[in-house]
Amino acid sequence: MVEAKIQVNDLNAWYGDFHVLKSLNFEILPNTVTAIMGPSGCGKTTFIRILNRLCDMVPEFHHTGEILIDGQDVFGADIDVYELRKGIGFVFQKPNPFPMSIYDNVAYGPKTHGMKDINEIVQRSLEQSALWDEVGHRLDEPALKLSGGQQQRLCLARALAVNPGIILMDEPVAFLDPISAQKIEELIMTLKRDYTIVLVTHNVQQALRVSDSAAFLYLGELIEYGRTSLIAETPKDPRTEAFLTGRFG
Amino acid sequence: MGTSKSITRELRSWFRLPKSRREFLDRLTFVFLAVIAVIITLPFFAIVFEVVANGWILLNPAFILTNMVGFAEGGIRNAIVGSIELVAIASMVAIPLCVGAAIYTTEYAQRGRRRARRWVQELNKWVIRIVEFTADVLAGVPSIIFGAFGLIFFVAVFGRSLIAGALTLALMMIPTILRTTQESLRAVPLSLREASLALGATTWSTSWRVVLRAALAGIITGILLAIGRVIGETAPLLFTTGFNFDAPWGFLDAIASLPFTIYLYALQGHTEIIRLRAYSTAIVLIGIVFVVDVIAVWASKKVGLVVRAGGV
Amino acid sequence: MSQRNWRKILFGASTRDLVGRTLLLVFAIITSFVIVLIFSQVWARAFPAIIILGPELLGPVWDPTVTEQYGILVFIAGTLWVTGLSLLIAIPIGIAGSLFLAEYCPHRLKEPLRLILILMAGIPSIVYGLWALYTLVPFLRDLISPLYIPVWDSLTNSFVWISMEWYSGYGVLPAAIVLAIMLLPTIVAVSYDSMVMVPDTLREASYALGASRTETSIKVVLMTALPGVGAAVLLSLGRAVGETMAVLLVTGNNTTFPRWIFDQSYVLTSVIANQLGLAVGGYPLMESALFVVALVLLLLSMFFSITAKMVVSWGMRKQGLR
Ligand SMILES: Nc1ncnc2c1ncn2[C@@H]1O[C@H](COP(=O)(O)OP(=O)(O)OP(=O)(O)O)[C@@H](O)[C@H]1O
Ligand SMILES: [Mg+2]
Repeated sequence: MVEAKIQVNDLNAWYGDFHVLKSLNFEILPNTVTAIMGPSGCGKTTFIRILNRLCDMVPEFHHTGEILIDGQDVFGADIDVYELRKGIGFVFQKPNPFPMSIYDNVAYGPKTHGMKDINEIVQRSLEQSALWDEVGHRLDEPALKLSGGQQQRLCLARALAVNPGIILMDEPVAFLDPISAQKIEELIMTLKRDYTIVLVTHNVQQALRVSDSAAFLYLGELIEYGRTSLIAETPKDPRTEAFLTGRFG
Repeated sequence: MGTSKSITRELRSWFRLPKSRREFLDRLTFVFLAVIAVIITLPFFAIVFEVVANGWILLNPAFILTNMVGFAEGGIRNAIVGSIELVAIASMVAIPLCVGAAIYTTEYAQRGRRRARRWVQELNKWVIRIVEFTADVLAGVPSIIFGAFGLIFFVAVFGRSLIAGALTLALMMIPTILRTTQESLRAVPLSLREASLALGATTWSTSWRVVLRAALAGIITGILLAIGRVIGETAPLLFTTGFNFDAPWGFLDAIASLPFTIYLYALQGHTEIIRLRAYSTAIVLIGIVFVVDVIAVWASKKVGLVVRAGGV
Repeated sequence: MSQRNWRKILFGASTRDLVGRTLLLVFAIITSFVIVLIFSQVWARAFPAIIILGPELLGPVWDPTVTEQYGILVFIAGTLWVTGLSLLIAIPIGIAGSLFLAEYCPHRLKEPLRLILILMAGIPSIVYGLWALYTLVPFLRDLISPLYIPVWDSLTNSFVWISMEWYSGYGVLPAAIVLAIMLLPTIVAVSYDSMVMVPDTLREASYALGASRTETSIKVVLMTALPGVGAAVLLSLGRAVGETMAVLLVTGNNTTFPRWIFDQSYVLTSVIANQLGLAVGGYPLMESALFVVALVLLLLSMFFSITAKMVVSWGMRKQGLR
């Protein structure tokens, strides 16, 4: 039996009075890709932002229940949020590189955490995100000069640079063209070997292609969770089926 | 917005020990920056306290309602009325000028650009650029330069007088009113204009009737900000108004004003009575400025315009 | 042609449109013309002195009455000292203050703080001057007079302790302090604006990498907002150089070169304020020399306004935002 990487126990979350996530219970195994699916506004983003405590930025956010990562509660009293986040990479929906050079973008995390051999880390991370060949020779150009797809891969490289164990991705291809999107998907498949990946996606086909297991959220409830292929073939809940056949979009 | 928190969350986080060296540093930074914020605002309270604590002694209805008799006696009615006269006339000159220029640059030159002929388009583009550039430059011109200019330009014609001072102040109002009016005209949704145009209005009447009404609160904000700025200006009046122990309405009469009066008191030396009178006058001046500024901020909130310390 | 038609042409909508448009264009031209007018007038008045006095204008002695020397260098030195010191105080404090306001200040306190800054900027400069004259100067005098201060003595090449008993309280120091107080609201407000413009997604990206609040606000927010902060500094520099009334009352207005912050000084704006009214009566050369001072001020202020704009667009290009 493999130890769960992420374990969600009876998680509830609110923005003020608004109940966003309702008693979620499931676990995510290491070195898998888990797709989180569901119609818009069902709480997908909220869920993964809880995993690395980015939810702290929203003043009216509060929660009950627990999330264990490697057995440690992310809301635990003795958790060091900064260390927690260091262990979890996050790729946002919209590419958001810092308005600095390409090099500085990737080096930001390692420098912040006082890591050694920054040059090597930068090269390794850019290679991992399949960007080295394109930008290796012009690392001091502003990152915002890159194309959208390149920017998103740069954000991935930035996240990889601090050696996280988990990578969270919030619809990473939503703003990209099909070819860039495909590149990111390929990256996800290769990265799976070394990382645990949680991928929020609207796109059922994409989930089918890249994910091992899938969770289906509907209005904050976990309707269905299991092997992606199983869910796709025999959804247990009619709402899942409706979503898969494109009735929610 | 930002990384700010609510007060309760901020407080709550302070009631537990920091979990790492970096969180400890965060708190140090917070304390350090908070102390600096206090240091920045402290002079404000110090100055207002100083002025009020010293000035309220002499402040009574008679002080406001009677004219000065020499420098040490009487009230400061002449200065109050003089300031109001100066600013009123300055506004009457500056407002139509700036609002007109703003309407031209935003309504005709910018919006109406597509339909006009090519060279007109080019010309209009330059008009916008020049008007905005000169307004920004004008905003940075030191007030004493306006004074010097008023002396050789307006005083040469009118002598040291109400009208010379008012015209000098009017020039100083231009950047603020112009830029704020432009901003609030640009904020008027396109649909409003189109609705009016669809009903057969020409650009001219569209601008007047519909757009101006929609942008009114913003324009008033700009006017109030400009008034708040120039009513406290001394340097432009140094050479342009002369001084008067009465407050006549003649355009060509010399006129007193609140800031100039304070300046004269400051020059008079350090006797106790002069000091107190200077502070009392300062209370009146600060009071007027604060009321005008607060109304401007309030009006700006209504229209979603952002007022920032230090003008345009 | 019927009367009706004439009326239509003269007072019809399209005519009204044309007349209105032309009138507004005239207004627009007038507003732009003001700066040209000011510049040309100041230039015309300064011109005789430039021709007659030439390089003498850059001499160190200003003595219009006895020796009739019109060197404006002493005022430039005074302005450099006063604005230099005031910005030395105001820039770090102002940037730190705007960082607090943008990144640390609890939500509920933000608006009150911003209102205080607006009111602070609204206090007329003559009132600042009054406060400096009646409160700051005596305070500094009483604070510093009892002190002995080490000063580098170039004769013995060592520090000597100098008694401050003679310190009047006037001079570079109070002027710089009151100027710094006056500049702070502008610096804070302008840099705050550019910090608020930094998108939250950048802050989130930084947090998601495990950066702390301090690291995020300095390395991401401050760095991204740097062009705006630079503009704030330049704008305040322009204000500092041009400030008249507050400085006028406390520098001591002494036409000697200040050597340190406890010396008295005389700044560019002050000499115009003090002497132009007199000179315009019948001292044409002195008047013209004073307009040279005005010209210097005008050019400086234009320089700062324009470079402030250039810094913003340069910074944005550098960051790849434009
Ligand atoms: N900061 C916030 N404050 C209040 N409510 C919020 C906040 N952020 C999100 N919500 C609400 O919480 C619900 C879930 O939002 P969330 O962003 O998690 O949805 P999502 O599943 O990611 O949607 P999408 O697919 O559109 O990205 C939405 O109804 C949203 O309106
Ligand atoms: Mg989302």
